[in-house]
Amino acid sequence: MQVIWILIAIVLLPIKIVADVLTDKIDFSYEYYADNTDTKINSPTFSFVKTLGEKFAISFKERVDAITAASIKTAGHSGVTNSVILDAVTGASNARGYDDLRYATTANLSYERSDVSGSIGIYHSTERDYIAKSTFGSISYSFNEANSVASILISNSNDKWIPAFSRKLPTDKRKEKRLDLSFTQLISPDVSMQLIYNRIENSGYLNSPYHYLITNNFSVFESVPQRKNANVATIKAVIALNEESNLWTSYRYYKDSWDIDAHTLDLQGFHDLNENTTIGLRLRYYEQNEANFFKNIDDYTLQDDFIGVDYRLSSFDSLTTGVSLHYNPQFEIVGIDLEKVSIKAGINYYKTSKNENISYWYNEDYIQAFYSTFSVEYEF
Amino acid sequence: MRYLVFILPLLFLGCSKKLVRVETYEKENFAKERMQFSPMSVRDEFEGHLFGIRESAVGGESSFSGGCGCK
Repeated sequence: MQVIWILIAIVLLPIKIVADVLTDKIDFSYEYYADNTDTKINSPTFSFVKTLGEKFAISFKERVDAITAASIKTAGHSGVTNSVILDAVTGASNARGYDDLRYATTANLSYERSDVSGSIGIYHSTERDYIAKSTFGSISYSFNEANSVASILISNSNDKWIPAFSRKLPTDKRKEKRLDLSFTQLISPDVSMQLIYNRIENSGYLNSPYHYLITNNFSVFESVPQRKNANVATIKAVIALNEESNLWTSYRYYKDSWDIDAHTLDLQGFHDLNENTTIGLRLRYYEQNEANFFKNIDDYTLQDDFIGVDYRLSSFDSLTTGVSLHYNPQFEIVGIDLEKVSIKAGINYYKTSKNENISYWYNEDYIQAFYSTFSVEYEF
Repeated sequence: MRYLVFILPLLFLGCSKKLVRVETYEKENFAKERMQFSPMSVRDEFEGHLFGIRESAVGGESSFSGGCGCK
């Protein structure tokens, strides 16, 4: 239904300025993630964009997340005498191969006419215990001689849990409605800024069906409220320092109806090593406080309405550092113009602060992870 | 929510003369990919997924990313 509203809005919008030109392109990327909780993810992605005339384009993206050894160990908590091993995904980790394969497909139709561009699309992903289905649509309107761009994105998701072991959930649905508004403005020949507002409404079964609490007196599955609304405000700025370098900054404030407040600061610097190669460095800091129903693990009783053991409901912070490289070849090989090829790679390190719930669930003081990205894009 | 689809563009119809305007010949910097708001778009998408799994806060981007059972 929301897609229809977006289509109507595209037709009614006033038309003024030229937007970005649609181009044909193919992209292959490969991401790898590994952390100290035994989780490893190999994630290849293939995507293409094909123009249909001058105003339309279709795009398709297929992503596979191959997850291995996603075991969660319950140990280290003083009240637990027996160590329990439960796989986050399947209920039992495989000794070899992948514990789970997640296939995520995105397809969308884009439209550009003068100053207005729009897109509608669908998303579908499957994994052993979860099916996600979404529709989304966006409109961007460029004005003020292309110095200003206003955008709206709406998405609607209807997901479904299929727990790996026989367990009756209060509901197997998880829904998300989302509204994203953004406004981009050139401030000077060296500075541009972007303001983003997100409204996210979640309902249904919002926690993992596998999280549980074991004490000497009782054991229960985690339970959280079945509704959560979040408001997110973000400001970004890109600042050219000189002809070879620029700074990228972002600050995000998040607040939801569970009273979780979070602040995220992201700083990135880019520098041209030569006309083909750009190097980037980044530093990201994140902090959040705890949900209003969250308690220390030892303080929960059976009389509590909600029981949260997931560390993401607690107070913690994290730090991410990384380096990236962007390479544009400037030559031809056997008739192929490599100037149309763009190669990007990056490696990052992520670490949370020490956290009691991370210790309880993962038997580690904190989570630390390495992840890398590599992509090759060809425009034709 | 649906009415915002119409209201937001209307807010900007009369204000373009008051906004900052960088002339076309001054926009050389913005043609560079590293000056875009997603200079590492592939990494940004993957990170959006990762941070959504590892942290409570989501959002801050103006693009769509689908759900999964790990959030």
